[in-house]
Amino acid sequence: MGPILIVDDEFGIVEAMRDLLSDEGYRTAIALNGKEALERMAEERPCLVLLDYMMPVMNGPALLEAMERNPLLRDIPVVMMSASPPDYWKHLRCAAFLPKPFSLDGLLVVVRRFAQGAILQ
Amino acid sequence: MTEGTPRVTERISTGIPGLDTVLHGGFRKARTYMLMGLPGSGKTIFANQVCFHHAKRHGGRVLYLTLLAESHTELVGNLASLSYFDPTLLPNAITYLSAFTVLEQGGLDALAELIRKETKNHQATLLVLDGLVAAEEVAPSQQAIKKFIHGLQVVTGLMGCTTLILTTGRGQGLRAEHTMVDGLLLLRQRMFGVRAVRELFVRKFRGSPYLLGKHSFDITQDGIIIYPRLESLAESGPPPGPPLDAKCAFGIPGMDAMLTGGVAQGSTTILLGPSGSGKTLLGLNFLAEGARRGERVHYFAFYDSPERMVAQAAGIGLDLKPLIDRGDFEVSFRPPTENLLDKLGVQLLDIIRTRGVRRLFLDGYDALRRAAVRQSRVSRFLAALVNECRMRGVTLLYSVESVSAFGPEVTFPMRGISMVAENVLFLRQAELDSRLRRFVTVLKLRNSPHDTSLRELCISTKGMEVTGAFTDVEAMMTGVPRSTTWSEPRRPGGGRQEP
Repeated sequence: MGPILIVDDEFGIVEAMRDLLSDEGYRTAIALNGKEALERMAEERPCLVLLDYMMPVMNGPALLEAMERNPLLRDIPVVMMSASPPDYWKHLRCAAFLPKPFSLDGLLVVVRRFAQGAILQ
Repeated sequence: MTEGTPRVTERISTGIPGLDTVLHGGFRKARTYMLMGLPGSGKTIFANQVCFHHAKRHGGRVLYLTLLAESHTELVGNLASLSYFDPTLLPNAITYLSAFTVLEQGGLDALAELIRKETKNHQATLLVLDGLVAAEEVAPSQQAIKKFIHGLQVVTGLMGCTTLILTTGRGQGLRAEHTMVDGLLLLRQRMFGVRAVRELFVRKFRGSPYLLGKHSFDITQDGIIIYPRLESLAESGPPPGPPLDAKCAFGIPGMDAMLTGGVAQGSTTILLGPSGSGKTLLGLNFLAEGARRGERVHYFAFYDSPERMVAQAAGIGLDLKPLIDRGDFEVSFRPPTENLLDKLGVQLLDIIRTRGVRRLFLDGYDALRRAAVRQSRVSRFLAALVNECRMRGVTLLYSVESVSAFGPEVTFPMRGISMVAENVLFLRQAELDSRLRRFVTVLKLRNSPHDTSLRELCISTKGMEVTGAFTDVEAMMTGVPRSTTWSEPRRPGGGRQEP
């Protein structure tokens, strides 16, 4: 089972999510923008991508598009995380949305759902 | 699809009287606050008070993590004498842990991991990190401590755990990490001459208004009590609707005639005069008249204890006991020693706002001045009090002692009199025919016609009486009047002075 890839330009959030998910026994990988995320995915296919919307270099929707174009990445579940109003991102083809600020419990519910699904596949 | 609405910001009430008022409801849930103060400023009492309140009232779970080499047995032992301390909450609802060794051996990373895991294990909803200075000491750089604080904020934020970080700030003023947190509260002890005054100051509080400025506080058996500054609490703006026409009488016919019925309801009146001129008795008459008319009145005293005051009033035939027993005439007394102006402010607001008082007599201004460590505050404090009374239709009287008992000079002990009173009644004693005679005059009565003459104020066992004007003397205001029928000052005994 691949790691959970956390993609967010805010280092504090990436680190906190990484540590909290590690505490729960999940393997994680991190990237600070969409471009870095593609590099990580080339190294190892993640079981789930937790994706921020607004990021420099390559933002969330751009990465989502790049993943959809790539047959190897197309079926990886993506959870979009954003503080912007749902109107901005509800049309995107994501497995789930996690409005910011979210709670640890909210995060774990989503992760359990999709990371568990990945194991079953 | 997992969709949700952003979480509504909940407030965590602090359990510290006055602080929720300053913070407009308490801490914001899942946010990180820093409490800064030198040793002895009350940080530990403050933090534990919040902890016990959180566990007891909110049913919350508290993790108290110390970074200092202090023993928890000692800490708990010191707290045991405070009324909020409840041993039954330990160790489940409130857990004390030491992170001293972890920090010493593993540095900030190990500390961050400990906090993360323990907060989760305890399902803590409130975390106190006591002694940040110890973490600063082991931090390899300023950057590292900033990163640690930031990481802590994110993690506890995700966990929904409100965090309180205690630090001395190392006495170096504001540091970078202090600006990162959601709120910064400072506890200070300041010296004014030989007096020490404790003050709380909210430097920042993200995402919410708060009361600006320095608020005094006390440390008592019940823990910390904060007295928000009256000026920051009092109502501002014009009174609702047109000014009130109703008059409040003194119940002394001559006096009420001078005032064409009394002073306006909701107005403020200064009783100015030297010691012994009858200010207190006049104020008590005013209150008694209100109580007789079924209004609730309050005597806010500094000089005379309630027993002495009742006896003094009885001496002039004013029987206050039935009015007090009935509950219409309230009396509160605080000796004019070391009062805190802000504490008096909180008491006065309570009287005005929650007790339904219609007439208030504050006896006197000099005690207020002594209570204020910063003299420049007194007139602002009074202006705020006056405005609050005006807005709520409470008629306020306060006594001001004039400096000189005799002599031509009459000085107001305060500036900007219009700001702090609409009406001024001047009371004085004058020597006339070898007798001390009291007189009263209306120096100012806003928006109302009034008698401008000087009238005699007689105080006897039958009560207070305002009688006719002095017709045959002038310069009464000086206290040493001259007869107008005889051109020279009267001699003792009333005889004619030899040329």
